[in-house]
Amino acid sequence: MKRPHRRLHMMAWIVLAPLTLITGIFAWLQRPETPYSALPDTIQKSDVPGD
Amino acid sequence: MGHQYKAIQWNGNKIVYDLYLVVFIALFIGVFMVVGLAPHPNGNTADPVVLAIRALGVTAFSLLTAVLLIGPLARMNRRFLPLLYNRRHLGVITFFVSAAHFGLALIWYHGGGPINPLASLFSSNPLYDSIPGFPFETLGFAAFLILMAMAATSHDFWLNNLSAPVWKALHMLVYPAYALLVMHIVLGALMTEKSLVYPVMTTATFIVVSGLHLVSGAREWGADSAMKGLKAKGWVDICAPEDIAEKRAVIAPLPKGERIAVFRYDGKISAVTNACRHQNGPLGEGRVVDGCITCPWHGWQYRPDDGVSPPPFTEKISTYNVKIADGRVMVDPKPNPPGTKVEPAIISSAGGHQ
Repeated sequence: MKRPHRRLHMMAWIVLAPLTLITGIFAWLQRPETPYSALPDTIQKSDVPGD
Repeated sequence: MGHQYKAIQWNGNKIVYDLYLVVFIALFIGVFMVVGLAPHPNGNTADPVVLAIRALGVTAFSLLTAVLLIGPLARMNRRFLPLLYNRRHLGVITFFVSAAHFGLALIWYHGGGPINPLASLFSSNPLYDSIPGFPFETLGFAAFLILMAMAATSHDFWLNNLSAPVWKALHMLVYPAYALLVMHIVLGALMTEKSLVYPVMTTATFIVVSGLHLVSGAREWGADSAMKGLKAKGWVDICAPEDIAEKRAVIAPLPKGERIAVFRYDGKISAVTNACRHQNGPLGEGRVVDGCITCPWHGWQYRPDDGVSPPPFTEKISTYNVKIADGRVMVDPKPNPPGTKVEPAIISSAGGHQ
C-alpha cells in the first residue's frame, strides 16, 4: 500500500514556508516606529510654487 | 490495534513521558513568570495575568514547534524515534496549553463586559485592512480551532471511522495552524516589541521547522524519483544482508512507487510493505520487538514472515518474496496479498545465499 499524502506534506511546506516568511517579515516592517510605517499612503501634491 | 478501543493506550513509557512533559511545562511557565515579574530597571513590573497569558502562549508555540520537528528529525536520525512514538500525547497536551492561553486571554481582555466575550473578540477590533492594527487574536483563534479538531479526533475511534486518508488529511491542517500562529505572534506580540531578540528567534524557529520538513521531504522525493519510470522486471536488488542492522530494516522504493521495509532478524530476512495499517506509519523505521515488526508511531505489530498481527489482533499487511543471491538481498516487486506467509531468506554464515 502506498502512503498517501507523502508529497502533499512537502508541497504544503513549499507553499506555506515562503508565504509565511515573506508575509511575516513584511507585516513586521509595518509596525509602528519604523521608517516604513511612517510613509504616507499617498503622495500629496505640493502647493509650494516651484516645488 | 483493531481488537478493541481503549480511551488512551497508556503504558509505562507513556506515563513516564507524560509526567516528564507536565513537569517540564510547569517549570518552563514558572521560570517565565519569575523572570518576567522581576522589577525592570525603569522600576516598572509586568502585570502577572498578562505575563501568564504570554507564558502559556510561548509554551504552546514551543510545544507545537517540537511536535512539528519530531517527524523530519526521526526520518533523518533514528535516535529521535522514541519521541515519534509519543507525539500524539505531545500534540494533545499542546492543545490543552493553548486552550489555557486562549481562555485566560478571552476572560482578561473580553470578559466582564455587556457582550459575549467571543462576540467581543470578533467585533472589538474591526481593523482588518490595517497591518499594524490587525486583529491578530482571530488568527490565534483559527489556529486554536484546528488544534481542537485535531485533539478531539486524535483517538483511534476517529481514525477508524474517518478512514486513514481523511484522518491524515485532517491532521495535516497542523501546517496552516502553525503558519496562523506565526502570524498571530508577528501581528500581536512582535508589533510592540522593542527588542530584536524575539523577532529573530521567531524567524529562526520557523526557518528551522520549515527547512527540516523541506530537506527530509526532498530526500524522500529523491529516493522515489530514482525508481520512477523503471519497470518491474524481475527481482529488485536491495542491499547486502550486512547493510541491515539486526532487528532493523532498510526502506527501499520499488518501481511502481511502493515502499517496502526489509527486516533482518535472527539470521533471517523478510520484506513487507512500509505502510502500517494504523496510520500508514513507516514500519521500516521501527524494529523487531518480541519477534514482531513494531511500528515506531504507535506500536502496532506484525509478524515478519506473514504480515499478520499477533493474536488477538487481526490486522494484515502485504508481504514480498525475498531471496539472497550472490550476497545481495533481492525482492520480488510484486506484493503478495496481505497476510500471505513467505519463507524468510536465510543468511548463511559465509554471507552466501538461500
